[in-house]
Amino acid sequence: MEAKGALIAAPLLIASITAASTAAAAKAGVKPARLAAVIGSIACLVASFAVAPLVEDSPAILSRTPALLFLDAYGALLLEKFTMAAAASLLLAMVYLDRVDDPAYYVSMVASLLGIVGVVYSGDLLSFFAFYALMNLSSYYFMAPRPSEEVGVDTGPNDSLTLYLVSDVVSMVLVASGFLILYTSSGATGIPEVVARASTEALWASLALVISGFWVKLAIFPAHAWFPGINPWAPSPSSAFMASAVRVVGFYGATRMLFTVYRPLLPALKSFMLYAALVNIAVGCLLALGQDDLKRLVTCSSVGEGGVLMMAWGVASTTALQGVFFHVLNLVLIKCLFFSSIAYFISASDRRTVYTLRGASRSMLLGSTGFLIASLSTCAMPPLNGFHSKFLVFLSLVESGLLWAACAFVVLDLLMLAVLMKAVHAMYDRYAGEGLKVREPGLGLKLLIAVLIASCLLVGLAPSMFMEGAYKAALACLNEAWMKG
Amino acid sequence: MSSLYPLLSMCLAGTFLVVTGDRLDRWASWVASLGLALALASSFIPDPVGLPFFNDALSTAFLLLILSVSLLVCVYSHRYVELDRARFFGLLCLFSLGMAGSVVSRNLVLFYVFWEFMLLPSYLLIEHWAECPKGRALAVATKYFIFTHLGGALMVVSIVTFYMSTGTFDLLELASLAVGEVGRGFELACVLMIAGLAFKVAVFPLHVWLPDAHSEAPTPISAMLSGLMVHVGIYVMVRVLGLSHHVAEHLCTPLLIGGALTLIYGSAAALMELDIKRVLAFSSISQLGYMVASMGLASALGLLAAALHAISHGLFKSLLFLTAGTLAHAAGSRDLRVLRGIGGELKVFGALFTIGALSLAAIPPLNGFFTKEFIVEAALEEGYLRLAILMLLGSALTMAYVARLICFVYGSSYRPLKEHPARSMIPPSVALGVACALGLPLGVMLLTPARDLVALGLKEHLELHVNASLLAASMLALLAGLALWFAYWRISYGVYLGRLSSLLSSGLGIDHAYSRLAKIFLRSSRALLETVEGKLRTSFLEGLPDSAMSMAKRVARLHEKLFFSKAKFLPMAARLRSMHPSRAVRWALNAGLALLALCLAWLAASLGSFRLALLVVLALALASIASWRRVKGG
Repeated sequence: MEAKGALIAAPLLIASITAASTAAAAKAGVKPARLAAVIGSIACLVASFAVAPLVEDSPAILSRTPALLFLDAYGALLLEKFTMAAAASLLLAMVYLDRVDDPAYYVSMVASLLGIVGVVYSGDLLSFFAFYALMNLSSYYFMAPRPSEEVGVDTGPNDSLTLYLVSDVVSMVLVASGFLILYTSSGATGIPEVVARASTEALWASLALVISGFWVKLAIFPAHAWFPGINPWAPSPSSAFMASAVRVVGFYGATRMLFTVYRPLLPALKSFMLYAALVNIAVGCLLALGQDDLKRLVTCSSVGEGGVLMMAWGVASTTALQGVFFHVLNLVLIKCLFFSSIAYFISASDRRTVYTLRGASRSMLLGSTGFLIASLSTCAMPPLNGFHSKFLVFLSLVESGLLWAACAFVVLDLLMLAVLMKAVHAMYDRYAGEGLKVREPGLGLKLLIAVLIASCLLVGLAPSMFMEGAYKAALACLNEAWMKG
Repeated sequence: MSSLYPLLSMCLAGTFLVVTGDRLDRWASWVASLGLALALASSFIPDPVGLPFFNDALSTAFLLLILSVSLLVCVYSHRYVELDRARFFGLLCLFSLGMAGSVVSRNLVLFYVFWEFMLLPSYLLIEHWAECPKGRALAVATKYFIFTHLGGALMVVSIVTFYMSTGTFDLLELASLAVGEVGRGFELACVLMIAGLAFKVAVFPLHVWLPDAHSEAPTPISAMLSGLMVHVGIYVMVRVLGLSHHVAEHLCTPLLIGGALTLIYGSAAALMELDIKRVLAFSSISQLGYMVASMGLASALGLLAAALHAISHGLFKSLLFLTAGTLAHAAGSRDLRVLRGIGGELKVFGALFTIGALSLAAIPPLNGFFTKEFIVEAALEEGYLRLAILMLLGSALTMAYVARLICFVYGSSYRPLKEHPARSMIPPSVALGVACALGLPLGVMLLTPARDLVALGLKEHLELHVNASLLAASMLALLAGLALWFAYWRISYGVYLGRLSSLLSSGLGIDHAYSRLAKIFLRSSRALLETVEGKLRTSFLEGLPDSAMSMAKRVARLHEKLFFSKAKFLPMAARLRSMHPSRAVRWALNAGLALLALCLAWLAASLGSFRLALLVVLALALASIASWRRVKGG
């Protein structure tokens, strides 16, 4: 493999080395495993940022047999986001889950990271599915509730975990079935060959299965039940990783398939996707409305965010894709900030409900501020990062003449703002919070929250660089130039 | 020149101070001053390439104005604020950040972000540290917030319209696209933007928020509001009107009328006020009227004159507010009748206040004279004689209320001082006084070939000559102003509290009209909300989440029924039922580790490098230890 190819494959190589070395270091104990995982994930993040400029104008094919491995601007952009989520989650785990004496936790996280990176690089159905399965199988372990680490929190029923396991298995079975149909019809696993040879009937049949599989993974209504079930009970770093990366791989996979294999069918699907997206956002808002538990509240709002991602399929224009891809970055920052703030509350006071955290800003200002910034950013308040991405999505609806959808989008956003402000208002209640006994959380957690707040502000104040990257990714996704290579 | 480093410096200083809160109270002013000084110093470092910031003379001039005045205000405030010092200085830095970001942003979305960002710190600064009772402070700050947001709403629509008509948010690209004929969409966008900005620059009748906000805010913040914030609006208007001459011509009439009304109204109201800060606030309205009218000339000369006067006004108005605040603080009152003679007690501040006042009155050789003359000259050059006459009338009124201020400040009464001003207030006031006195070199520059430097890139080959008749007319106007003041003094000793005074103070009844409109709107909104809430609450707000949750639970129960049922005809259910989740998780982890090894081998085969072969070896080792695991808990 030539030097440039090696450089472009660097994130994949580093993720592989990290997974292998963390697994090997796990034998020596939790500290070596944790260190290997954190260093490796940060290295992977740096490599993904270094690789992005190399492929933003033209994609790179790294291998054709036995696996078709490639990277284009779209993949590179999402790779940056996923590795950022992994690094932030592992850092949060390092500073927050210091009582977890289980190296397998870190092994499962990095194995899942390798699965995610592999999915991004995969250009054939077999590799795609293998890495997808790796990501899912590894995720069960780190999503399992751990009662001794989050003291005072009810671990929740085992059924939540079982429901997650079952939903994921269903997702994998559906995707595998769809891929099987495509393989049977085209006689090939490479996506370019599948596109060239698969029959229309096979495309429709597999579309229903594959998109349903990713639908379940992305936790879109009505297949969303597993997400609010399991996410609140998992440790906070796992929740952050799940909400900002693992689940979003469903979006990546569906988008990749929709704009390559199922491209001829996309015009017929757009309206349906748009309606489904708006319904999903509404469901997320309504689910969040009745929540008192902060983790569950944030998880339900994440269900709604899945609908925002679906706007890319419902509008399928350059602006929509640009806005949604930029939104993926913002989701990473926002969700990590949400869950870090919640980790702060739990660490300092063993509380995580709106009612018990009344007046929390008096003694836990940093956590309250982090939650406030994340809430405002989620609801597209300038000058925060979330404003730009949602504004682009809004603009894409206006450009496409979907003014009713644009109005609905704004109204639902305001509804979500009202829901989140209920929690924020309670935290900043000046007349409550006296006598709230708190412990001082670690410096690492405070630094992480401060960095995430600063990142939300910086990206909000200087979004051009990220918007340009998202624009190139949108073009790459629409052109799919790697298939001609 | 740099924009990024100053913004970063202010952002870091502001955020740090706001977050640390009470812990940094003693050092807050030093940290803020250091941050602003660094911002000013780093503005001379070149920016990295590719940032969406302006780097021309116009933005540089305004950025330097904002940074330097903010720094001086920060130093002035060293001993001014006692409560919540860290948050005060933090918000001050963030306020400066918003203003600076607005003037350097080339991208309209980024500009809007900074514009809105300005609002929150300024609102909090007015509301929390206001020099009036809490109830009034909240009302004043809320009025300021509402008016600014109304303008902001129009600006958002304008930005969207710009994008939809041209496909870009970049002002430089907009300028290149606007050469020649422009479409209706572009025109509409410009009109909406100017309309939105009219709220911020307090064009009559949208000015009602300004006198209250600028007078009730703490003195340092008043200096920033009147000296800097409103000029950000002027700067943006100059930018937008500079995009297309065609659009500027269309907006000529409303700007001329609005500007003229504003300058006359502001001067007349200032003449009647007794609160020194309200006098200065109304004088700001009047001076903004000059700038708006100048922009209504629809020429590069008019835009340049407005921009120069904005910079000049920023300097002397800040000086006036800082010194007036000091005098009022020392006397214990803002009433001119109580302040009578204080100039004699506090000689330095009295002298500096006088310099600022004379600059406001456009007395040569101070900076205000040259920039105001430039505006009137521009009006004459473009053939607007009636406007020039109105401006001279405004000058007469300005001279009248300036003379009134100086007479009161140096009046004959003696009252003992309530408080002596802190020493930290002197250097910033002196610096601003010196800046105002630098008007003479500015004036000389305008008459020499070096005038192109002062043109701020708005006009090529600036041609100016001394207009003796205009000079004579200006001097006559000043004398007329003095005569008016003399007559005012003779009639009522400069204190008129009749109906005209209260009418002018309340914006000719416009403030009252807005309040009534707001009350009607609130009453009908409340009625609508009660109906909506009452009728729809049970079905929508309470029922629908329950429905969504119950649907989710039904789906979950369906899952459970399918997979966890005890029915024997569902073998999968039976199998899953018998499996404890922790076993499934352990099984999954093992499977995952095995799959990990396979994936690594698959990658090695595909990428085919020696390094990957090493990975395969590691993977095989991993497979051999895959049977080992440690699972804790469920």
